[in-house]
Amino acid sequence: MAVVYAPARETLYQVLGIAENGTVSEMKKAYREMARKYHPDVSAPEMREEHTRRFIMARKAYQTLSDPQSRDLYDRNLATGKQGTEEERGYWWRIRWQAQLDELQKRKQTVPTTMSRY
Amino acid sequence: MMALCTFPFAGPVSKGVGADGQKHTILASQWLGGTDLQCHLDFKNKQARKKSTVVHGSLSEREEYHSQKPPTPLLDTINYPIHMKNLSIKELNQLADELRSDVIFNVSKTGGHLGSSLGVIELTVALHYVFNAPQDRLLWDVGHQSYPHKILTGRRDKMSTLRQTNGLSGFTKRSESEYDCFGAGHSSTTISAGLGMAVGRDLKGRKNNVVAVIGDGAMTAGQAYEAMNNAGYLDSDMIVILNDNKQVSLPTANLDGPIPPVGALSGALSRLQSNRPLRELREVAKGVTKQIGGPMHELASKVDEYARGLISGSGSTLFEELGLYYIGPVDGHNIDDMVAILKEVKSTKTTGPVLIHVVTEKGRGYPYAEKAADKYHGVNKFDPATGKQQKSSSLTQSYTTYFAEALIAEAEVDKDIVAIHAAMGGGTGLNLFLRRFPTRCFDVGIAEQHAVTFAAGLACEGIKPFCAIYSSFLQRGYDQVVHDVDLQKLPVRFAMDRAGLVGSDGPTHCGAFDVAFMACLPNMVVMAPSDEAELFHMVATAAAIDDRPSCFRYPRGNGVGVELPPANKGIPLEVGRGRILIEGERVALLGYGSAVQSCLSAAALLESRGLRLTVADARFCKPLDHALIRSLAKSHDVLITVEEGSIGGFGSHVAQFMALDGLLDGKLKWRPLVLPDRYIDHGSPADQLMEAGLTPYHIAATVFNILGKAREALEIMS
Repeated sequence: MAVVYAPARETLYQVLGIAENGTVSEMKKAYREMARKYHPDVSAPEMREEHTRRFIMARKAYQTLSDPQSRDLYDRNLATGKQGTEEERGYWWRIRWQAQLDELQKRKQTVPTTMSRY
Repeated sequence: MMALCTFPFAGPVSKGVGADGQKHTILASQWLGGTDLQCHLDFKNKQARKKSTVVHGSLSEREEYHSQKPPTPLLDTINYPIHMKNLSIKELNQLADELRSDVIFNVSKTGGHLGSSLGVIELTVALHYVFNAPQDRLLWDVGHQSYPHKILTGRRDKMSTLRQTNGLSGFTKRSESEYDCFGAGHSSTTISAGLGMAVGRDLKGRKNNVVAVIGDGAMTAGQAYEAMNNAGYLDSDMIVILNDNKQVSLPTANLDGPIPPVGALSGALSRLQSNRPLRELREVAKGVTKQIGGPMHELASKVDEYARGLISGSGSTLFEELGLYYIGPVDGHNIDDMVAILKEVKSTKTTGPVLIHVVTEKGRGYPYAEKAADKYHGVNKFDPATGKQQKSSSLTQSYTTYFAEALIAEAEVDKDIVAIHAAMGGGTGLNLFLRRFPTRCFDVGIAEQHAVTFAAGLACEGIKPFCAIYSSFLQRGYDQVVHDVDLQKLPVRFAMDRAGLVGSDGPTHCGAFDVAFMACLPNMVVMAPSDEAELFHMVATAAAIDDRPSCFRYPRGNGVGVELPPANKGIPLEVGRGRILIEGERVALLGYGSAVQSCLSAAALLESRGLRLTVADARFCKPLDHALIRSLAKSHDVLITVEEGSIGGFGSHVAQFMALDGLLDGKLKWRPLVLPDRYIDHGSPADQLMEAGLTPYHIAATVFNILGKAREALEIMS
């Protein structure tokens, strides 16, 4: 499965515009609509690049979610935060670094200052 | 995201307005996600209303950004970081937005590095807010992301001179500003320098902070580990900010799409960003709540509290093992978060070295950069509204491209040829080679030392490695060239692009020394093409030399327009043989590499004044064409060697030979023309050549001077 290299702004479900518990037939319908709308062959020349991008995203979303195995893997990744939206990710990260800062404070209180360092 | 719609529109509305009172789009509606643009524009006062019907969402114009620079009321009040100290977080966010548009509009007019600066806008604002430069030392690795830093530290009004002669450097530069505490251009030096500054501070009894910002790409270089290892050992108080945008090689995409980061480090950094333990904990908590019942949000917050305690130990083993305290990952575009963390770390006494892992997006905030595969890393002048870059028109291609094509042609017929580069697939042209031979192109990350020895290892096994490393970057791997390659006489081929002066990147990228440091090696064949056809032949020559190492250097820029060999396949040259281009008398110009073109131009200048010079192309610095030199020395009164390199290079080798051969014992006058014994600042190539004294006019004037015609010399220089 291709790895996404920018923080995902939307989940694959959001790309297709369906709910996370959407059925395969809902997915098919959504994908068909998007394909009709964004296919490069039916796009005006100036919109072609943008539409191609969306078309590719939609196709990727459909391919991943319509196959039960890959959908399951994707859902699990989503749950464990590997493919979350930016806000979700920010939340979890905040918890973690706040803890790290607390720990740093604690550490420095218990570690004796060294007399000479060099 | 950006409060663009609140800016009153002060400038003239119509740029390129059509006769039918055309629309002037500020933002396409989809960029704002379809929000209502009622609040947008204020056409009062000066504008002719008839010209300005704003239609938002005019998709046919495809403008996803401002075409005019929006007002920057807050940034206008900031000349130095001290002016930021009383701002609220909300104002800091506004400042970041204004700073972002300032960077975009400045770079659109001058060209330069864009994506990297956009990725660190929020980080720069947070750093200057929390810390007190220049007493607090702020170091930027490589320095090409320092544009926002420069704007905030007293150089905003000079941004229009960026990368130009006598203007601002495109990198940090100590002599430019006290806020640039360490110069850069090559990567991975800031942790080392920062540690030095931290230890120096401690020895002097000072109390300032030291913060080094380094990218995940620069982290792939060994020096970063050497520095972290030492920092951990010394336990000095300093902060390392790892700016992680998952872009490790340049460009950050090959011809066919984004490049996955090379190396194992990226995987490790990715895993740090995973939220797995937290998420799993929460899932468990959800399950528990279902059974227990009760308000979910209460339990969730308790879980969060416990989670904090539990996961605080989940810092990165990699950095912790080296002795750095790891904090992160942190959203590098959230000023709130970053200010909180930086303040807390700053206020903690004796932290030892702390590494804050900040995650950013290269090109952030400029839609065209975000969408581009190369994130607009380095750009020409461009139109902000459409993102379209100025294309320089040239009849010939760059030497970089010709090199790649030449190597591909060689590799087609010889299966053993492979190519190696250090995170510079685009800059070396090897992305073209990669596309043709995906299994025979090796990107080792920013690791020149490793690249050279890696190539040596390949050569041991009978492979024919071509190491494409810029002249100045090869400096990093010099011992490996000497000890691993030359000493053992392994046939590694070095293709040194960016030889000589390089223009706006300046002295850090200038390839002044490669002739000197390669030609002094006993086993190295050293050659330089005078034009692109010669480059094709030298690639073939290097491929054919299989019993010793070889190298060839070529400049930044485009070919001169000579005919290329058929099918891009060069013919190996006879090693140690130069060629005479023009037969003349009395005065001979012996050029090496691109300088030959200047010699030809000088000869043309002098022809019109009644002098017919001999012009020769040495082709080889090692082994020298002794017969050619003897013949020139014996049949001319004056011999001038010309090269775009430092002292100790071609001219010195020629002098050495002539002296030993007795050629200087007679009436011959020999003069060397080399780069002057100082660093030439960034500027246009023409200005730099002028500053270096190597233009055709300088060569012609030198001829006149030697011939005792001082007046003509002065004339030609004016």
